Amino acid sequence: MDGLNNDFEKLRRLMAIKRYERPPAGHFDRLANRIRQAIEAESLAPSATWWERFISRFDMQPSMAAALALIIAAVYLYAFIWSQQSPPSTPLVRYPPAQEWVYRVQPSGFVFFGDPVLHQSVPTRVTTPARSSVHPIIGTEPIQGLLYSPDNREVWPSSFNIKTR
Amino acid sequence: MTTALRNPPTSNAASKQAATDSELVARAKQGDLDAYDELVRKYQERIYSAMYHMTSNHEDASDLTQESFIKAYRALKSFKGDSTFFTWLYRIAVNKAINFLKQRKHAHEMSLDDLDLNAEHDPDVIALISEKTPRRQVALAELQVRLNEAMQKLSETHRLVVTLHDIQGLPHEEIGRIMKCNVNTVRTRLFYARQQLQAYLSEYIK
Repeated sequence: MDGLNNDFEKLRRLMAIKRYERPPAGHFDRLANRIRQAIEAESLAPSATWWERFISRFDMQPSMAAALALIIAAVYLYAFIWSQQSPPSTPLVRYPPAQEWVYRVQPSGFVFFGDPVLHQSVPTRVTTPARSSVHPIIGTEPIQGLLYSPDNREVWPSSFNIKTR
Repeated sequence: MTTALRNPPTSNAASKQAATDSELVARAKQGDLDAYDELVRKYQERIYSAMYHMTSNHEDASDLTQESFIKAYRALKSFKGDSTFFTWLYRIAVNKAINFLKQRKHAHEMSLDDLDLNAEHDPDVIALISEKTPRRQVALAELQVRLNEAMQKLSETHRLVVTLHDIQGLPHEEIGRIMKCNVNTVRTRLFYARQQLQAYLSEYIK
């Protein structure tokens, strides 16, 4: 490597110029005074918090910052793995127990869904038990007369043909 | 500054200096600001110079120098004397400069110090510019800008070894202690840094 460094003789001469770069006259006196004033001001100020003292150590020892970062990353990783391995024994969300419902087809053809106890008196053609945890909201047929009523033109379906003759 | 940088302390001088430094440090640790002020005045030119060559910016270099001395004062109680005060102080300043440069990712304006008039009489410099142009001052100013631009193209660690060795004249061993790496690493980094600089400044090195 030393032999190769001899090839840099011209570069060494060129770099000599950088040694002649100087700040303005009196700069170092001013800088020393500034440093002293800053230290004096800091000495009068309340002492730094434990967090500021803790962080300031990292400037001195960057390896300590890296070690701390590694420890924090390891703790997070361990916490993540642990959370994946041991799911909670009781479910966090509870659903209401399933309730027995029946749907009944009334003689009119209307299908009724509902609580079998409350609606025992409703006459039915077919009674089929079904289990559901929610109140059903659908039927197999529309309410009779709702969409078709020859006497009421306002509820005629759009495809209804009016015979003019 | 030039004399101090060109002649790094010999072992005898260094031990005397270290003895004086340790006395000043001991007094500063007990809150003697005059003692610390003496240490500041003793090393501020070298620290400023290192910061300046790392940043190529006068204002940034001044701020970094000031912050380094303040940081060192705060941390003085943790200084156990395992290394010399000079090495310890340099380490603080260098870490500060590297952190600063890593945060300063965007392009920045250079704010260069003026060249000392003695530069025109340096035989090395005369040899470089006499063939180029008779207007020596103009050629020097241009060369200074190109040199700083080339330095800023280097990585932080490469710039640091060039600054400490080729500009400030510190021995490889001292640079190794400052950068906390072995001498061979310093030599290797220096070699690659010079190779890159030579490529950037090829038109001036023929």
